[in-house]
Amino acid sequence: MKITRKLAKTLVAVLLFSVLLPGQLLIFSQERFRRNPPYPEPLLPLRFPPIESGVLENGLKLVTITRLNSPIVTIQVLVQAGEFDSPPGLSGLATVTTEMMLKGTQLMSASDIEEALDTLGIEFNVEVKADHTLFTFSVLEENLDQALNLIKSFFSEPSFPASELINVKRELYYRLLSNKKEAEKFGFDFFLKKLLNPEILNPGPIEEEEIKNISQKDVIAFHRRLIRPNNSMIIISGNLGLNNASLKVSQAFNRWVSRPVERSPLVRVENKNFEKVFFVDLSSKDCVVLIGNTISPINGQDYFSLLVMNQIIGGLTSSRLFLNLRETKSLAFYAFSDIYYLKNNGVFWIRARTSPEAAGEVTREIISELKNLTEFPPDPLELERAKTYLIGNFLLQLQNSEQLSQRLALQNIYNLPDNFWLKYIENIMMVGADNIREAAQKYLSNKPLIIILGKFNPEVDYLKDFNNIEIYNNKGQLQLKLQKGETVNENRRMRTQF
Amino acid sequence: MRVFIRGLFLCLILSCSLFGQISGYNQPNLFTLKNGLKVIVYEDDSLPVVSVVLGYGVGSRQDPDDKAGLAFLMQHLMFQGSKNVSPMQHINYIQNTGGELNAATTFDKTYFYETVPANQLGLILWLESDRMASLDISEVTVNRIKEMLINNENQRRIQEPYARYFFLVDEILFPDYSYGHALTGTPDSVDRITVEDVLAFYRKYYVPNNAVLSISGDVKVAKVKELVTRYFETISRAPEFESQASVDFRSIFSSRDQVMFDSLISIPALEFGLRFDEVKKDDYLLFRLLEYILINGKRSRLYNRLVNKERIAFFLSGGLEDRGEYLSLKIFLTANNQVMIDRAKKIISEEFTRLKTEMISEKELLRAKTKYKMDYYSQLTGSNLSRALSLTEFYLRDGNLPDINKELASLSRVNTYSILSLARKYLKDENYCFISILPR
Repeated sequence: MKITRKLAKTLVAVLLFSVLLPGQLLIFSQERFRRNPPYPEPLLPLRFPPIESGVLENGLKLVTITRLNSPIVTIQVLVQAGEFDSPPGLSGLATVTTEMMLKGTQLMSASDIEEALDTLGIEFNVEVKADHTLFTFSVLEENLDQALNLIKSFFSEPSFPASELINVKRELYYRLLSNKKEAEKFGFDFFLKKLLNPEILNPGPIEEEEIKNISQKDVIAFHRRLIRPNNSMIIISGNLGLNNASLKVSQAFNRWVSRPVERSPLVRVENKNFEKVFFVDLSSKDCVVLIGNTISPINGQDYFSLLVMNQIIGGLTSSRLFLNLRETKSLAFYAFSDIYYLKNNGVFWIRARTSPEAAGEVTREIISELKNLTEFPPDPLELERAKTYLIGNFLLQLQNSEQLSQRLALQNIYNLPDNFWLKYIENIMMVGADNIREAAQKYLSNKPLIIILGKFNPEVDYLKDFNNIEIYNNKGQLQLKLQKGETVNENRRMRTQF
Repeated sequence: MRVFIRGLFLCLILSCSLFGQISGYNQPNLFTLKNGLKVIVYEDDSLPVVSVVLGYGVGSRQDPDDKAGLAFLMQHLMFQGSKNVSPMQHINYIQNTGGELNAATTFDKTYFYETVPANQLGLILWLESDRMASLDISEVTVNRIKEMLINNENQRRIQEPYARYFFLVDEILFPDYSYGHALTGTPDSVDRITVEDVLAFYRKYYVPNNAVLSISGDVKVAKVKELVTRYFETISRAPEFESQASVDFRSIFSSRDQVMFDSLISIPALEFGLRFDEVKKDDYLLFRLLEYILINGKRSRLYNRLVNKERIAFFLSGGLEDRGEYLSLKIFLTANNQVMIDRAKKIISEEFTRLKTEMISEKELLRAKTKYKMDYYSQLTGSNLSRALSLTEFYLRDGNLPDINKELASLSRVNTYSILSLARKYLKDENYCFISILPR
């Protein structure tokens, strides 16, 4: 009994202590769960909204994405024609033509169109790429019929008034000049041309001096030849299904006449060795370094491995290039990598902004990072982090209805399988460390294209790292060729010692 | 920052509720924790994504005297680590999930927001609760942020030479420190901020009973309740503070039309500001429509005259800004020379007079209503983030969730006479100012 009482006392003390303990701990310490981040719950399954498709009588493909929770309808018209289709000497024709489509129809002036768009509350955007053009319009559901009626007139009844052509050309010209002032934009255009020429004559960038050559006749011909329903696709995202949309779109677009469309195919540009380095002499105090090569196209088997590889090397501020060049060595203001696709081709490129003194070191470090990827597989944590980012960010991007429509458009342009986006997460998950190394060996083993933009100074040491250097001016014209041992001045045709 | 603040207010300030009329839109769920934290949950399972917005009822208005920029400094400090999160780790944690994040400070509110895959909701709540409970405020960290803000401010003066006139308009329109000072502070005012100021400010305002937490996405209310209670309920509430007394700005401006010469600019510009006094809540919707009629869109009156027809300005922007019980309308334009600037001033004055003397057309009103709806719906249905931001903004401003039917009825009742009455009631000649900015 005595023992029992003693035991009971002890038990009470223990119980009391255990009751008081959490409260006391809260005062002196913190709850346990605050110490570490929680484990994530299992990833919820991805479901796309209902997607249906059909083809109208004039050959226009129609896709609907039914979104019940939105009173705004997004209409995207994808035309398989872009700057690649602008003839030699007329670069910019695709851009000018698409802009002119909204500058007058048989019944409306440019001012009437502007007023109608504004009154209906239509927000719009036109994006001209190398291989396609995407028109995006957003409108309230209640104004959809009127909006379709207006939009169809841009495609089937444009009048291309000469008075507006002058304005469109002038605005584009000044826009391009202004873009050229940004070293990175100018550099990427230059990079694309050096990478893809001569196989692809016009991979997207526009020569501003060729704008003035574009005539009304050229614009009409371009529209007649390529802006055709049988070469296009309309994607409607909103609170309506295929039947309803089909009725509305066919009523509106039935006067858009189909014609045979002939486009020369974009050839595949193979990954190659670049023996020269290109320097663009710009009057800027910083230097921009661009490095890259071609990769397999989006429908190639390495797409997902390349996405993860890109993420590991330069997708984010926590990727290798940024950490090494900025955080550890303080050599660059930033350093990122990216992937760019056009039909039958892919481009992997790195961009870094640095000081002129550090440009050589930055170039060497980037080359070394690329080499590392070909030699060693990434560590498992780094790989998982890159994959988690890509999966999570993919989900975030899909929130915007235009993004899903755009992905469906890309599916059409690049002949991707129907379930390509639905299987995106699964395919990213399957990428392993060996896949990364294999992709790196395949696409990063050759000497990449190197472009340095900044104030040219022949005295800097790092130029001696390269055997062949070509110097261009800010218009992209060749000025000098430097070879180990001699200099060729392109303007004066003069050879001097280097 | 400036663009963001403008944008945020243009989109959110006058957002009234049309929830019931939006197909598939459900009423959000609202609950309050024991410590006073208000939580709004909106379930949307269309994608496995969630957005979280934590809004605090504090902004530049609460900056102590001579310490302009403190609220803005706090926004930056909130990323410098807390008891269990190292400096800048907050950003890394979110980015590693593929998520996105940002923060913003306004006149009377501060927002922190993140969007992540829905399975990472716990992570955001853990991060936000940690910096609400135990922000790392040390002399070293505060000094580092001060230095960064002072450098940014000095750089902005060179790189964005027009920015200081944007804030100067506020000073003229609101001749009172708490209403009129620059949100970012000045190098001197930021330099005067001490660790003690920061600690006191943090303990007073960044507390559960001064905050609204909005969560929108693929979540269930019950699960959210469980997680929010776990992470936030043990954070102590702070003593309630008295709201600041409003100021009477009736004095006539002594500096309403100024010409300033600036050696840092090369293109002449004009800043215009107009203050609306004692704005009634019921009139917010009308103000928004007035904004569309005057300045928002290519066919708005001022854009049409100044840019399209008379080609006086080659850049024009503007919009409404919230200052509690006041509103201001600010316009910025650039032109070729002083003659054009003077003509622009004349046109702006003419258009305001016209609003008070002539009825707007039915077409103009329809256009304004359509654009209003379009922008409003985009906010509400565009993404989980825009929805969560709207709900937080609304709750911090009005203290409740919107009354749908009342608001919708208000919109349909607006007619051309409503705009005329509004203009006659609020547009006062003594409440506007011009600053012509000319190259030296």
